Amino acid sequence: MNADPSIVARAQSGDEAAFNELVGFCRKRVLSIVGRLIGKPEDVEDVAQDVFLRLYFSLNQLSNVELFDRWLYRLTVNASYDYMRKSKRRKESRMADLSEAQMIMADATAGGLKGKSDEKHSTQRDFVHWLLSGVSEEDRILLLLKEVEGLSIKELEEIYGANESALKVRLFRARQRVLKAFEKSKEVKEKDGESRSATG
Amino acid sequence: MENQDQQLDELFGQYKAACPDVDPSANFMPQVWARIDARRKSEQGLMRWANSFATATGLLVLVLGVLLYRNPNPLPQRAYIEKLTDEISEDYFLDAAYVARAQPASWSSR
Repeated sequence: MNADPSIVARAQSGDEAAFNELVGFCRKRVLSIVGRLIGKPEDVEDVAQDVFLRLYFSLNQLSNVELFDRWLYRLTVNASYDYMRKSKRRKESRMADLSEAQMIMADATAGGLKGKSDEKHSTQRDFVHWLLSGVSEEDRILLLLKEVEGLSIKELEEIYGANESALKVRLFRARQRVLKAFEKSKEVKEKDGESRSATG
Repeated sequence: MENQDQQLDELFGQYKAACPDVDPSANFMPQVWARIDARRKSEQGLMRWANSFATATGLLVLVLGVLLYRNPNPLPQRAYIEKLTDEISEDYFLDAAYVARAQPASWSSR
């Protein structure tokens, strides 16, 4: 991201043009991160606007303009977390409700699907969200930042203000839970395949 | 398990590619400013209310201070129960005038 510190400083002093410039510089990246964290394209813009709203009212708390990127990351994570908590997506999907789309995705991960690209992407997104629905919103975001955004433990430390070992333990536990759900989805897929071949 | 770990990593990679890049709409920035203005207004309203409350509290303290200054001993020194006990004491009941006043009309006609 690396925003120009002079623009950040000007925005901090109340220069609205500088704030506009700052938003223009960062918004595409914020939109992408929010999109991957919440997984609901229709709400991405709303959450991203919330990020910039928080940025506007908290910019004067930023003591060092060099840390702007981490600051913005933290605001993005917090806004996404608040959104997820409100929408309570977890209640919508449970292990027992493995839908047809998720079954298809299980096939896709095994290397089988050849469908329309958009449909496939949508199914992949749904499946990953279903896998992540077994962990808390905080852990889901942490896992996505590490595994999807590719942030290092050091970067996560700066964003969360937590120590390395605590983050590692949390990440490990979250990943284990996701792996269990992944395994379970495969079992369900296999059983479903067997019952289909028996009836067919 | 290792194989599954690898598959999960691949899945996360596919997820990143599957998330579409959302382009900001034309009114993204105007909407951000509208939200900023709305919050500013609500904060100003809250500040105005807090100022009025502080002023009213200050005035009340001032008025009470003046009243206390003009009447430094407004409250009775003795407790209410003590005062009541004094007034309705045994002596008071035995007071002839009180008994005369308290006796029913039928007694006086006898």
